[in-house]
Amino acid sequence: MIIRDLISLLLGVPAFWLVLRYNMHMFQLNTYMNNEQREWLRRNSHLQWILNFAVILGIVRLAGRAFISAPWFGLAGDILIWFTLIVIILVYRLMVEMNSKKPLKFTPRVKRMIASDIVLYL
Amino acid sequence: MNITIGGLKINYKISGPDGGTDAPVLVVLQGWGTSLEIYDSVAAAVNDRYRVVQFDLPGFGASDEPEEPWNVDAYADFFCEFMEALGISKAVLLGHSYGGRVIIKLAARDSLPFEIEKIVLVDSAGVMPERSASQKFKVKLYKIKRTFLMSRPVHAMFPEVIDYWMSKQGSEDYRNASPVMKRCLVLAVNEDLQHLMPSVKQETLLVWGDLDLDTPISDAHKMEQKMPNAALVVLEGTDHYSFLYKPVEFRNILRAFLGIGGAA
Repeated sequence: MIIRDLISLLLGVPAFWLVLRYNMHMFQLNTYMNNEQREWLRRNSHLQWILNFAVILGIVRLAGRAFISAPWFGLAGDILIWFTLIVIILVYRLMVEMNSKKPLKFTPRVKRMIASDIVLYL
Repeated sequence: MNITIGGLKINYKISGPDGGTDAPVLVVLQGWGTSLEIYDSVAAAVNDRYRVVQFDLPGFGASDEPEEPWNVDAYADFFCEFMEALGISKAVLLGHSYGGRVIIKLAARDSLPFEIEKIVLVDSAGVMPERSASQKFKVKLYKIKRTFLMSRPVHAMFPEVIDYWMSKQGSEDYRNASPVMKRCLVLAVNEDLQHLMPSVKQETLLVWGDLDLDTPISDAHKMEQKMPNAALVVLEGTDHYSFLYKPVEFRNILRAFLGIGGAA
């Protein structure tokens, strides 16, 4: 169980960082305007559908832990989550690269928002 | 100037003595991804004595692209038509990189509608590089990845990201080429012409940059060994465009080979 949790952590941290970095970069390019960012997210929702899938997967996994005791369910759920995290890492690495013309600047504001995101996540 | 051959508009230019004279002719066959202007210094080196024909092969420079992917033989066939259309019956052929490939194909043919007087191959292609086991593995892995990612259901999930990844693969020439020209390039680079080299009987000058990474100097040594009448001149400190880096040396070598010493 510890090994499985460790694998989830090792994949989850870079996936979280890449998703955070990409969306922070877009927010910066949208000049931190909430309406513009919302509009951009609406127009580009097809790019990030995998995040919705990952959230649903996480909820199903948590619900499964509470209601289904069969060990195969837990293992199958973990494998599916690992696979999804690997896909997120690969896809977001390229998405970060695709938007590298004007790179993300780590201004104090960005650092504060990243810190807030991490606290909220934890 | 333009001329239409096989329905394709071909861009070309001729410099040197007037067409009415019986001046000898030198035709320049270009390298992949170039346009004819890049060979202006080559033309200027000899066009006081030679009529120099520069042109863009189909899909290169300002010439029309073929409708279907052409292999090197198809380009050689086109060149024969081009020579006939210009009424050239005898010429010195100078080929850079891909152009050298076409010349090797032509020179190895039993019959041609024109006579090849002499050949100059500059950083020429034609020798397929030997791939190491790890390179072969990488190519196989890439093919598996490409097949997987370009399959309809997978591509539909992340079209922009997969297209971006695909656009980063391959050499610069490959990335810059249109879909048809990409397939032409694949057809060319997967064909080794070493078996044809002993059939190149014409007097041949090989000019090479010792720092050439696209067609390394080892290719030149193989060509020199296999072509019965070939001699190699190395322009030290130059790469795949040796004629551009040392134009004066190149001009002197070319003029000496053509037997027209003295300044252009």
